[in-house]
Amino acid sequence: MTRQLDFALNRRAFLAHYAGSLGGLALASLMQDNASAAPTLNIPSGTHFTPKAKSVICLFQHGGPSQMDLFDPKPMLTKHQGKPYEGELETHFHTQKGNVLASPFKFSPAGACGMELSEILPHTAGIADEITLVRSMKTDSVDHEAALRLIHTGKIFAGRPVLGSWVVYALGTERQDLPAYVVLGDPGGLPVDGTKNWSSGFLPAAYQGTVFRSGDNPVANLRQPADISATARTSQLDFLQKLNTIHQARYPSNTELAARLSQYELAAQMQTSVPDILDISGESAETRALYGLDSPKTEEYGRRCLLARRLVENGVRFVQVFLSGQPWDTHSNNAGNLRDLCARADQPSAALVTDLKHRGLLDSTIVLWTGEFGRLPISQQADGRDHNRHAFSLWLAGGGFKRGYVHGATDDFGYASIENIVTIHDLQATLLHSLGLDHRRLTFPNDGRQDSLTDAEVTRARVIHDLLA
Amino acid sequence: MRDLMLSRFRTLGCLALIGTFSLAASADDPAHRVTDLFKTRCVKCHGPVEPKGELDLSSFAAMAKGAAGEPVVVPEKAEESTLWIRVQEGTMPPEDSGDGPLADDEKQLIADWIKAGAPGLTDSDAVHWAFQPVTSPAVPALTDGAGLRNEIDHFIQQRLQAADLSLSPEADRVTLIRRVALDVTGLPPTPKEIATYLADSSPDAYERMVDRYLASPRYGERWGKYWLDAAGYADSNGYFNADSARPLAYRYRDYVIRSLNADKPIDQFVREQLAGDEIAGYVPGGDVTPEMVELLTATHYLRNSQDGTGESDGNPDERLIDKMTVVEGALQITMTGLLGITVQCARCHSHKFEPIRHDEYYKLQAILSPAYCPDRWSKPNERRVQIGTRDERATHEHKVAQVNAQITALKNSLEAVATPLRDQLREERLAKLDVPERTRLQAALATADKDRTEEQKTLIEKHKQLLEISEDDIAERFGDFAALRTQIESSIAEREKERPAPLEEISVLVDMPGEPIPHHRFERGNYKDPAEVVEPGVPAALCPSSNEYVSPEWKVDQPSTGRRLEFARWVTSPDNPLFGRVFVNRVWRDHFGTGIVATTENLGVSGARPSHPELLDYLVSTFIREGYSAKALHRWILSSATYRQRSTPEPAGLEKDPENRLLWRFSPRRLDAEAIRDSMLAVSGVLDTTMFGPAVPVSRTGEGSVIVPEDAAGAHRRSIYLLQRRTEGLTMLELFDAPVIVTNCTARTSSTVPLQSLALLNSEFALDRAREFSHRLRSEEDTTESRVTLGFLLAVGRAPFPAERHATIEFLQTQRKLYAEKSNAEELCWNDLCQMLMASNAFLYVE
Repeated sequence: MTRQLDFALNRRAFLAHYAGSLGGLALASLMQDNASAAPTLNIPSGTHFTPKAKSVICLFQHGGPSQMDLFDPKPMLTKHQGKPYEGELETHFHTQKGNVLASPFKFSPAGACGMELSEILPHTAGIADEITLVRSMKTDSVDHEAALRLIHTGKIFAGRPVLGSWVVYALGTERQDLPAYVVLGDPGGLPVDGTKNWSSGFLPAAYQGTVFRSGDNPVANLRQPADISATARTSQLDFLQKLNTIHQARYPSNTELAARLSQYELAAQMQTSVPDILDISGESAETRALYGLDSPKTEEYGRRCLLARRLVENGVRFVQVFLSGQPWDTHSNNAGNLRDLCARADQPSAALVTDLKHRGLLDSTIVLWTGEFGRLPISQQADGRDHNRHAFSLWLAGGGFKRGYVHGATDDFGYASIENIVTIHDLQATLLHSLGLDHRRLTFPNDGRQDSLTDAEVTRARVIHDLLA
Repeated sequence: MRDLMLSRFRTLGCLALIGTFSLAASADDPAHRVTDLFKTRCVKCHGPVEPKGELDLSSFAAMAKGAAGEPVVVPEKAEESTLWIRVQEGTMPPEDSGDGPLADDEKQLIADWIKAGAPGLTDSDAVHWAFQPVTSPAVPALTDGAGLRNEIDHFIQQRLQAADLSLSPEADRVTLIRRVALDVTGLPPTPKEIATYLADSSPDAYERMVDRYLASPRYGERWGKYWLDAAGYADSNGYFNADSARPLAYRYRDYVIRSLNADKPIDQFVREQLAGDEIAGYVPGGDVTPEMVELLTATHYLRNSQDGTGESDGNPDERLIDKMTVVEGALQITMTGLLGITVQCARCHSHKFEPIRHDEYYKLQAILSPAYCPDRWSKPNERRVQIGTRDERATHEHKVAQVNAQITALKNSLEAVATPLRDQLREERLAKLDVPERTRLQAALATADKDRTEEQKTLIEKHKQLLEISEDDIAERFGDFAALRTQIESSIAEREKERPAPLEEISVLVDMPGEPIPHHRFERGNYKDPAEVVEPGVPAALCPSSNEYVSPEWKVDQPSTGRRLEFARWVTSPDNPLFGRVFVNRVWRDHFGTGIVATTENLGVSGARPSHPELLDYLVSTFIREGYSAKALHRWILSSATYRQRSTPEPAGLEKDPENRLLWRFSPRRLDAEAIRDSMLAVSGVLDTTMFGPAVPVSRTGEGSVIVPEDAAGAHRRSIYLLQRRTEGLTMLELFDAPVIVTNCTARTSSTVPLQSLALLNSEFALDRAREFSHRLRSEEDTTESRVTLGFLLAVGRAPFPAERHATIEFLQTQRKLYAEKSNAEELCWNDLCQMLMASNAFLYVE
């Protein structure tokens, strides 16, 4: 949640970080208890260099989408279909190892760039010329929770800030009456690992994601009680303002008290601004059709992708769209489940990119489509695929990333990334870079040291400039 | 430099803008700034353990030793100092250090410091301040002691005078009682308590008031929560998404509350939590007498870390990591919570900042390894013991078996009667079928299951209803059977009454039986890569010769290794330099908002320096000498003129020390989450003060908020008794920064966000409390004037100021007009007033 004080926090943090001894002076002046004017600290972003992007939409596909069935064609699998896999494989369910499992889906070149994509991603194929497809991702865990924490926070253990929190901590927001970091949850329930997916960890709680729930009360306590009229509420707030002003008079210089005074007004503004943004009735029939709102299969996910665009359009910095549970976790009936999931997610995901582009927002918005890991080239029992941390695919669009570009490669079976490997830490460093942030300098004190998202000293995270235009 | 600033910033995070920050006086000191710069930019390589080039820049003392004995700093002569030369030419820090070159002003700082004669270099202490023994500094003698109340004030006033400041005058009585009540009990003072205090004209009225609150059972419920946060308490296992329940954890919560209320000496309190089983002489499978229960319950302290091993389903490597994560968590909780030092870095490599070696991390693990041994692992739900002596448990088991046997016999006797009757009834039913069908069915029934044809199976399925004869069917057909059944059922009920209540259980940490399996150091923290065997031990840097860890020898048939008992002794020894300092500093923080060391969770080399080092040691040495009484410490702090100051600002103080680091006033601060919720319950008159027992369940609404349903039993109990699943914290509390426990929380943040305002304006909880508060006012007082007075007295601890009263009366008039049409207009007006009072800053802040 962003608000004036956050900017105060934020600005201080940056001054402390980057301004050297000058920061000391500025810090001292900021800390002065006599800034009697209500804080007007809505400062511009604290970037380290000129940013390409200013907002991020993460379409998170948890469970581990199968790269060899979606993004990474492997003829060798067809050749060895049903035969034992030669060589070592790391599995999660080690007692259920099967033989090589070919993808039943056809791949064909898409767009002018000729990027090969699976037949169950026809809409993604339609935006092939807009995206960077990374086929050489790598992470460190085959356990869902741990892998989710890795891709969101950089480490396997809980308690660390997610990417969105770091971004909001660094960049603040443009709209005080909206949360800077919004999570669009699945009406079906929380994703695996629940609220940790948008936790601010050791950063102040103000930087955590705010879930916009489906239904008519999207934010906790947003709805005004039915029996309190607008006039009654106005006079309540007037009275509260009077009480707080009397209190404040004893502490003329206390910026926190002043900020709390203004929070009630912001809260009241939120009561209209949030429902306004969530109201999509003003969207054209064309737009609705683009996102698939006219089809029951795509309606729900399409709606949330459309909301993601509306949020970014209105100055929200970071949006995450989740699915309930871990749908891409295709331990059984891999092909059938994928067909079904793509029917649900493919069109809305591609529509978001198209729509952002159409509105001139794509250059300043990064769209990230990814899961937490990939899947194995062999079957799990009869027709499933087990987890794989050694390779997975993802795509990025907008925000300074290349268009119509395929990065990296896996081995012949798609088991491990071998060429131009991108670790999840590299991905994080590169995303921050595109937002104008140096991952090594975006730090916060934790456990007695300057901690960061990428912890580059340990992880060797680096910006993958090849991904950027 | 950066380090220090960010330490300040972190404090800011904790306290938002009321905050006080490590003071300019020390921060601006070039010597300190230069060490801070080294810490952030150089110590990663030039640290206390295996420093590169044999140059340790982590302290002046180490720096003075030079690189492999060669001096690197020549005071006053920067150009002759190797350190400056390297920095100036840009070879240090090296390019591959990852942080880029030093900024010009950073370089300048180093040059200036050397040119100034390298102050601090030669007269420095050899050891980081917090690792040195606690001293007993003399109380500063002041020429003017006017207005001072105890020794604390002397230390504070001395620093204030040096800065040309002084303590603010004492706050008025109504402010003081609200401050003390909320501070000590987490609840606002009642009108009666206020009246008693105001009417007490004796000179020690204030002290007596403080003592009344310290004696209140509500004290342990407030301060217990802080302890539980630092101990990482939760009612669930965490780690995996399942976040499975810890149904017995509440007993540890109750143990903490009871111990604090009883003012159990803190050293004993901690020893019980680290090694209660070994103190009690518990033998696995042996007696658990009433005297042992408390000691065993205490050991749940080491069970608070996340534990996913009940749900692990991964491959063997993953399972090993899952187990070792439990040990790591327990160690992290212990070291940050009790000793204020971070050790996790040393899991993979020797600590870059703290003098903790890689192998020492595993020595610490080895203390816990007999209890948390991956090769003899118990899942979380298995780590429990039944209360009772062996004999009592055997008797209990016997009694249960007896009751079970009797009940089985009764059931069998009924069945014996039922069997022939069932056959008879079946025949009667079959008789109603036509003959060919009956014959076929009888033939099918006579055939063994496996030999039946498909046709026969279908036939049986078709007549399923006819063939299935329940006891009820028999009872309906045969009156005698029905009578017999009733009789037997009542006999069973009689027997059930004799069934003894299940034995109570406690969740514990005890050593696994048998000779301990050797523990290893693991290369780079990789549990698949064991290196040499390590003996149990503790970091050498924390061991003065008077307090070393002596690993107990293993003897056959010994019930427990004694490793934790020795660790408990070592931690709580008066010669442990950190234990007393960490505890006292945290108590200070919880009274004043900022610790004497601002980084309460970190007193190590990378932590902040104390604002009043002599005061801290004076408090600690006295605390230790007088028997580790927390209540005595509270009483001492609360009695000081420093604590009793006004909170309103003075121009001189704002100008010279805006962050109030020198304590020229009492800093106002927002109530914490639990105090807000509990105070709203108290003010509205519905607080349920039931203590102890299983947690009050919470539930997630369809919209995603976590609430306590208003009609749930215990819905109005204090927040500490609500279920604290890691993934299901009460929304109302989390909005106001209640910690979400992952490992533990030794310092909270305090945020100011519109979601908090929305909760106070629109939440069911706020609206319900407002209605009750309103009802209370209307039933206790008759006139508008007296209701307004009582409303303010309850919510903010005093009668309204004239301006507040005026605004209130005006507001009531406005609302009366608005609600004129409604039948319950009067009620609505008061509801609105009450809700706004509980949303006001005067309610939310303690002054």
